[in-house]
Amino acid sequence: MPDVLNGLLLGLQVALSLNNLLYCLLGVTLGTAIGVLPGVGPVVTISLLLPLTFGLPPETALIMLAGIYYGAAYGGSTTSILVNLPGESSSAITCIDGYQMAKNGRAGAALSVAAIGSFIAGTIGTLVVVVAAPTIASFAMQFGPAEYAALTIAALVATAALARGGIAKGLGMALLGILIGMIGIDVTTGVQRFTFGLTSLFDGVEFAVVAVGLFALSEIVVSIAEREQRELQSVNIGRPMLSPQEFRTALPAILRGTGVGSLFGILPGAGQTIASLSAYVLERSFSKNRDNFGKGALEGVAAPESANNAASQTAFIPTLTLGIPGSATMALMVGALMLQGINPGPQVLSSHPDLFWGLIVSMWIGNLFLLVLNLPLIGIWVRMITIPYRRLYPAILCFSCIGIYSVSYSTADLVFACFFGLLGYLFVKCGASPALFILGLVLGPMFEENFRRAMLISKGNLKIFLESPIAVSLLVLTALLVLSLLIPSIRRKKEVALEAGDEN
Amino acid sequence: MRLTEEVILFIMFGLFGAVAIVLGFSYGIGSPARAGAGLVPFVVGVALSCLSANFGFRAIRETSNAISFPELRPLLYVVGSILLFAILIERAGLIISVVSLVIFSRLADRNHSSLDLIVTTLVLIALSVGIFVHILGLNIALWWF
Repeated sequence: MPDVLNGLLLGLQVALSLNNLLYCLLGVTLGTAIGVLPGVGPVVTISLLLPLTFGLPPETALIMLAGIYYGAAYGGSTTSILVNLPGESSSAITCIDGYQMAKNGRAGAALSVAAIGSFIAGTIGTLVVVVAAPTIASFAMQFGPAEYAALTIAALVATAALARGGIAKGLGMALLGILIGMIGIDVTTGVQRFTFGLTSLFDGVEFAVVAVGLFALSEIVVSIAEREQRELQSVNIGRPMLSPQEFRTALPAILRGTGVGSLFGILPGAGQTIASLSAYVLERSFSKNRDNFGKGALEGVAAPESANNAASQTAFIPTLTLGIPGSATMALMVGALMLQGINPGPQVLSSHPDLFWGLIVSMWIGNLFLLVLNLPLIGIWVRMITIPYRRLYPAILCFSCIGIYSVSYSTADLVFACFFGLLGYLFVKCGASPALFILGLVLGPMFEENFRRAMLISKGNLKIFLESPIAVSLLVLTALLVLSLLIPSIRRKKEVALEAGDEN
Repeated sequence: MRLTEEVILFIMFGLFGAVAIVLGFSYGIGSPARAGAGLVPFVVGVALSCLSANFGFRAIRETSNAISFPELRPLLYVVGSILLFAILIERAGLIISVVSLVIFSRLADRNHSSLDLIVTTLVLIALSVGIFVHILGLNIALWWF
């Protein structure tokens, strides 16, 4: 426990330095500003802003990216409530009651409860990270190569199993990502892999290039064609504050949502989406005014928004302690860490305590900024929502291009980005998940390195995976998850849950 | 043959799988204790080929809807405008590149007004020069001279 206190003190020191506070504030503001833009979710936002953080010191870069992440998530809730347009699937469920509230002229109350719920959930979620992360990290210190290889496999297969569109598609996406991750000179043997003689590929493909191509470019192409005619009357925000009585109604929902969210956030795969969805369903069965759900119930906004935000905090636990990201956004965070020359894993806590604790404290500060900033600035956000797409996408394209070019001043990177844009477009057309591709990209090299090391230790005997209890239990759990999805009724439930999150 | 989801996945996984198998093999599989550079690519290639075969069979057996590509026009213009940017950035400088990128990419969208285009272009020039060159201090020339 004194370790945790010392850590928090160190974190306060790092996070409260003027520079880091400014970048946290900048991240949160930029994240919200871009996150409220229609059709731009957190993943696109982070990919887009990733190149901007290259010149920063690691802890500052990560603090800013985390700020962007919360900001973008919050921005997504704002568009869900005001114009019924979720930025990502995890805020889809907020649309149901949030948009109804906005239609009833109570958008202000909906936004307030989302902000307050997110703040409470963020605070509790951060506490969960503080308590759980060091424990898991010290446990993970015992992991050897065999355990790590098993863990990466488990993370990929579990995510693929929980993804939309079936496990075969998901696995294929992860495998494609693994292949792309192997481009470049193999460190162990010095062999050039998949470089096709191109010097720009010797060091592999830049992570930011893949991210921007896959998420931002393909998104632009699809959105231009859709040209969604959004019904955007002048939104009447209404009274932005909650009455004490409303707060009393919302608080239990917020706390229950936080509990559900904290739990699901740790799990890989559709964690955040399933978290907000389960919180909503749970709340509907708990609530006294059940009939009001779907017609603008305050709890219907409070529960999923809190769950969503709690999950987005606890999702950092596997990312920070194991270096295993559970979602596309977390994969981007791991990618950002690696770009900074830091190998994610349990050793981060001991080798870069300033980064670890600084990030944790800044999570809470970021949530505080969101609460303080968003309600007063809501007028600006509303105006940003109304920017037509035809003015928006040239801007996204322009910043993507300059961002990609600035990574290593190479025009080849722009051509590669086009390639990944095309690939991402094909993924969208097939209903496949680009998130798994990016997870494969991040986890692939990690798996290969650990697998080879394990085989070296065991002198080529695969039994090493069966001799470690941790590796065996991970593999067995994964196998059970996959097998359980072979049971039709369970599989149907999964598909229904994911679709409900998508359509609303 | 109709272009369904399964057909695209069959081709995509098959193509990448075949490349991974052939090249992976040439990089050297190595021995179990000393895995070569080609082992993991080879195994990934085999797995991808299996998945490809799976989607191939499904493509024959199931009748899912053909996929249409209404986004072909934006796709071409977006990719084209990025390639144009790639050609221009080191030859003509940032400002010309941004102008060409914005104008060319706006063609992706059928309805455009010229006033709107001019304003967007000017705003984006100001933003990119301001943010990337002045605030972030990137070493990008503004003009060709």
